[in-house]
Amino acid sequence: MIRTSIIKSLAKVRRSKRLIFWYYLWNLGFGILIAFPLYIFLNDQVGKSLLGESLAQQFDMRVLFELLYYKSSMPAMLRSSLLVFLPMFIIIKLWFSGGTFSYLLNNTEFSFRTFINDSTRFLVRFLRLFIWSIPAFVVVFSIAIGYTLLTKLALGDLPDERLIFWNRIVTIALFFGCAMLCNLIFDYARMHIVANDMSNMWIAMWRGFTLALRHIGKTVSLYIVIALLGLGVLVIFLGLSLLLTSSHAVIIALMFLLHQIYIISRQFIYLLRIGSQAHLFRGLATEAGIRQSVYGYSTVIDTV
Amino acid sequence: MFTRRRCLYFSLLLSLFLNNPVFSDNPILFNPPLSPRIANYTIHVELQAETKLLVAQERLSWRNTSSDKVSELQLHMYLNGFRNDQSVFLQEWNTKVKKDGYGYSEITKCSLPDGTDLLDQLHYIQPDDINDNDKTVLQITLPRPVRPGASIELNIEFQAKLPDPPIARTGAKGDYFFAGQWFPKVGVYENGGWNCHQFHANSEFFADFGVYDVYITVPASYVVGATGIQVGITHPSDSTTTHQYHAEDVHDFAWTASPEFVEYIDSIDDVRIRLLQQPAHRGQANIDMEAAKQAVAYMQKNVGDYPFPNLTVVDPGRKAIETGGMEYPTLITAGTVYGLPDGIHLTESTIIHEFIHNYWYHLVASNEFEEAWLDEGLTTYFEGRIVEHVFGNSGNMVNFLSIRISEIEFARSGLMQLPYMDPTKRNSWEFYSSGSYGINVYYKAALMLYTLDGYLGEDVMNKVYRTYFERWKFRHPTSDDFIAVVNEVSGQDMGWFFDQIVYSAKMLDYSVRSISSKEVKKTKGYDFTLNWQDTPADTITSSKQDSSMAEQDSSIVAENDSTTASDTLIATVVDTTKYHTIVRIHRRGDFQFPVDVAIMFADGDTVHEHWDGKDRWKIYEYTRPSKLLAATVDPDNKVPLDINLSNNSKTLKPERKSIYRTVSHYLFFVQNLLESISLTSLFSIFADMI
Ligand SMILES: [Zn+2]
Repeated sequence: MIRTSIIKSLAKVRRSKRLIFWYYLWNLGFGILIAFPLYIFLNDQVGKSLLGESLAQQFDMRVLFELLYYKSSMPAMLRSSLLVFLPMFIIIKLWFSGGTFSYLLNNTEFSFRTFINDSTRFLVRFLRLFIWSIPAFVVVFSIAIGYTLLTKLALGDLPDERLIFWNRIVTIALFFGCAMLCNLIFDYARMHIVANDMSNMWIAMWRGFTLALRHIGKTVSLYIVIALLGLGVLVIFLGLSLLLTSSHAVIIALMFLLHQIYIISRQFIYLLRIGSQAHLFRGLATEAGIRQSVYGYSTVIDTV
Repeated sequence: MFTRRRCLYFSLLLSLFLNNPVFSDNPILFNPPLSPRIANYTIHVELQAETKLLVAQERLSWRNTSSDKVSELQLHMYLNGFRNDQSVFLQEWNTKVKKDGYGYSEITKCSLPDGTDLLDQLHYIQPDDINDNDKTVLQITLPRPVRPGASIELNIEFQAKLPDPPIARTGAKGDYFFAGQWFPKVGVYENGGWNCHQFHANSEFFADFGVYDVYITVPASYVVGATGIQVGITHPSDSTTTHQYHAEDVHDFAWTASPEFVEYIDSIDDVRIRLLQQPAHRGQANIDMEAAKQAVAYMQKNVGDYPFPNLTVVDPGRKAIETGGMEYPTLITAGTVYGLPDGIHLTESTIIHEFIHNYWYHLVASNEFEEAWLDEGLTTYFEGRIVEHVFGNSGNMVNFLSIRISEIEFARSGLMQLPYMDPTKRNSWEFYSSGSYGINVYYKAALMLYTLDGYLGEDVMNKVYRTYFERWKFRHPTSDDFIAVVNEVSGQDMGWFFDQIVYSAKMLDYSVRSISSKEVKKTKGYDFTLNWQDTPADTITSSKQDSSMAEQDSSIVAENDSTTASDTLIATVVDTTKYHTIVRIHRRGDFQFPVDVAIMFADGDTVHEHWDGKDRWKIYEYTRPSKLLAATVDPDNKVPLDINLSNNSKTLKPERKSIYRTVSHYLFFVQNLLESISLTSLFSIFADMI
């Protein structure tokens, strides 16, 4: 089922070039807006000094120290551009997620009109779901803290640095594991909202929770397979970027291209994950033996 | 010398085993003595591990090498710096001490060998301030003065409590003990008086050389490390062991004890290195040992002979890192953490640093209270050299996740934080702040020595260090003594340099203020030499002459006189395309230092200028067939004392490639950030990282 979900989703995402391009365009646009002050600054300060040569070679701490101490306006400039544009982008991304989920759940071709309509339709609900994720996050965070406290209570102040080190690694792994599980619960909750046009976030969360846990083998394996795919792409990217270290103009251009290809790949993998999960979501409904009703997915998947 | 020392060490070891389990006679390591041996100690100390107490009997023998009759002794009682929160040390340290964490040192008996009791003659004094809560300097009024050349012996019994957890280099945590500055220790009598300062937060130490015989009794399961060499071991009871240590020509004695230590032994040249490592740090033992070996080998080769047969390296216990990164004669403390990535060389650089101290704190024993830079500055400088020798030029301190920091960059980043608040030489407790103390005596002093390398040449400076070491080992040189060696070896009077940095706090900053390079236009209007008899043909001839003259580069230098520039402009008018280039160099700080200037032209030519740096500014002008590319002050980075390197150069055209490269990397970082953070759920921030 996982294999089929990924293959089907792969086919669909490959057909969705316009959606990927749309995502990429926004990412690049906001990236440029946020990074632009650095360009202005470097053009003004470093560009006309020989420090620029060191910067062209590699990330040079000497240059960084000099800049941070004597051009103290730079960090402030970069911070403010990030503080203005990052929240804007996050809201826009949240807005698009309604359209994305709706498109990937349904067997229709991509159209901007439907995409924007669905995005707008689910914006407030997804925002409410996000607010629900805050207490859930606090609970998960408390589990990690609780684990730390528990080990402290059970074993006291650990006498050995090796134990402390590995205990910290376990705590971090536990936290990330829980975060991953919760993230996929919220993915399925969103699918319930879109498929059943639900407006009660508490119920949506509960449905997401029960679906993810009842079929934990499938939901988690799918998530892990996609995460490994992402990791594979990252490894390939890092390997290639190691080859592109020279300060030659062509190499700099190639590096930029590689960066952009990696960003597109990340977006592709994100859509692949949602698409595969959507396919699994529908598959599980069919498996439950409930046939699609004339009302579409709404009432059907409600019972999954 | 090397072979003799090694033989000596093995014969000592042999005698240890043959004599076991009784105390051996104290051996003679150096005959004739290497130092004046003014302050000599025999101490029997017992560690009471439960209460962190040291109970000890000390026999102090002090020799008067001055021409004065000395009627009192002054003793450092360093552990009293942690006695109460009103001590000078804890007032300056500005950290809270746990309720039972305080430490102290208290003399319970003090008498002369003839039995004369001196307990009533002990008074705490405060030579540096009026804080009578400070009990770190003890004055002992003697019944009879000590005549020049004579010696005095005192029998002292004292009890000391080590701070728990350790504060500033010394203390106990769990079953790890580090005893530094733990015994009543006589000050230095010089220039007609006692040099015996109170214990300050920013200060280290100053003492005379001598011979130490120390008998350390600890629980039987404990491993002990100490200054000097172990010459005997006995078992006074089933549960305790006494370790006998002997050290000659040293000016301090520190020891450590813990049942946890894992012992590693190796040697380099003629020096046996004993590493006492925490069990959790077994995996790093090789790294620590290699660092110690590199340091020993480098210093012996480049500075002078380390005359002692051994070195002990101590890895502090957990939560006792306060005892780490410290130097004592023949014993140093390091500090590492489990899981430290390979590219972070902090442990190695600490070990290297602390060993170098054995040259500039121990063998050459300057006064760290009053001129700490002579020790810390030289040590930091040599640390940079050794680390560069071992790990290369770039990223020799940190080379991790593509972040590279080298020692010299680290020193510069320190200097930038509090540039030039204080002269380098100043009483340690009188600096503007502890930050300024650290920056001046460590970083600024080291950068000063790097700058001297650039100015006088590394060969000259290497000779300076060797001469200074040979001349002043086992003595107490001052800043003036160091400067005298620099002057002598370099054959120059470098007073102008040291006056600006050691004795005053001047800022060194040279910059390229502006550059321009413009095409020279033909003159319009009348020629400046009007000749009514001239025919047009003559004018052409005159122009040709100008042209042939201008075939050679013409450069005119103006100094504090900008009118010359415009005259030059007219004088160098030619037919072929020429560029008139002006480079303005500016001395922004009040520190005057000669600098090189490089002016690069588009045809590949570089003009090298040398400016004495005395005036506020200097203008270089050229008329050349090629346009200017860039100008830079100190093109070879020979002046790391220059506080701001970002103003050292200017290019006519922006260096676009580097801008695009940097911005593209930052853009990529931002794009990834945008991909990772979403409001779909708070978890996505962590789960969507890939
Ligand atoms: Zn030091």
